[in-house]
Amino acid sequence: MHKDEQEQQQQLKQFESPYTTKFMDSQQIYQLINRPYIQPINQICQGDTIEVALNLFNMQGMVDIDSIEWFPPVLTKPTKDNVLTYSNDGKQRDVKDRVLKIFCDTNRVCELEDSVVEWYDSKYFQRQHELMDLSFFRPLFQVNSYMCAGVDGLISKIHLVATQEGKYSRSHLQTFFFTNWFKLI
Amino acid sequence: MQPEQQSILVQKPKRYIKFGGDNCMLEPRIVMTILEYDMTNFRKFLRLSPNWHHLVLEGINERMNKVEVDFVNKYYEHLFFKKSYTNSSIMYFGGKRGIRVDRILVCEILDQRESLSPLSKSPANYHLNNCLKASFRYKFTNGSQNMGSNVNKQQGGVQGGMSIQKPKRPPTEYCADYKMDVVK
Repeated sequence: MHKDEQEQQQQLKQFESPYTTKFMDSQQIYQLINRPYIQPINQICQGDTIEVALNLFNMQGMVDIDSIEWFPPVLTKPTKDNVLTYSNDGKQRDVKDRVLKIFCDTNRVCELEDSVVEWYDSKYFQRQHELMDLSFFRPLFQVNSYMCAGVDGLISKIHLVATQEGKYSRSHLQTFFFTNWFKLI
Repeated sequence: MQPEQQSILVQKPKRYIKFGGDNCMLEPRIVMTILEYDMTNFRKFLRLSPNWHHLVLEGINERMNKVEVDFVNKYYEHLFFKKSYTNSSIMYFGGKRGIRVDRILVCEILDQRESLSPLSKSPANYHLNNCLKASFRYKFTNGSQNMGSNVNKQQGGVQGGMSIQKPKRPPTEYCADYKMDVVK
């Protein structure tokens, strides 16, 4: 069994305690484990609608509502690299600190992407059977590029552009991640 | 001959305790006080009756009004406050099941150019191509830190075994940040 699979099984065992299974079926547990990750700082456009969550109560306790105080807005200049334009080519040479292994701003760019030296188009990937079938996205998204990297494993970077404005259903997205998770990572 | 006894049946009035309902209206602020005391049962309060459902949500609405007004006053140049709502979801941590309750503020990112006249200078806080940070500070209420566990100290729950009383410390202040890059 591959090390990743072992870790996955380990996680599953941890969640499948009698206490958890009392409240969740196996699919819910899978969904909990296979929750997609998002970058902490997202890109937004003017005119977009966003939701800001104020947590009032969680397992840590109840928030004192009277103590909530908003700070004035702060504007800063973001780094030039973003998730679409980032390339770590040459970054290693610029940094003098040899201990440093991650060169990107991890709040904006995935550190996994930073570890990739070279991306190439999916049609040049040797083990074609490992590639994902992206037809799932077709009616709603236009696939701009499907880049691959990795020698013994596959790391994918898919650039999608929505064909029209709208709201994407969460269950649809979850079904996709549920079925394709192993291929995505 | 025995005198006829008058059979006057005196019915004892039925007494029952009722909170909320058609003929027993509660104020949302009272419900909010109960909620702040026992938020673990938030979802149960919502399901008690349609009236309770309304009261719970209205209570949070009223209570959060001050926070939302503060948000609008500070962020009106960048974010247009559209609406807000309360959301709860189930969470699991360390094999334990609990809930989280959030107040969601729905906002639109303003196009600051729209508010400009041809003669006006571009404002100093122009957020295009910048990273906008919205943040707030908060504290947890005293004694609510173990509300999520089985023993609810707020409700007079008793924990088994010897417990060492820790000295009271002022609640720690936390800060939550939301950062976003305005790209277009």
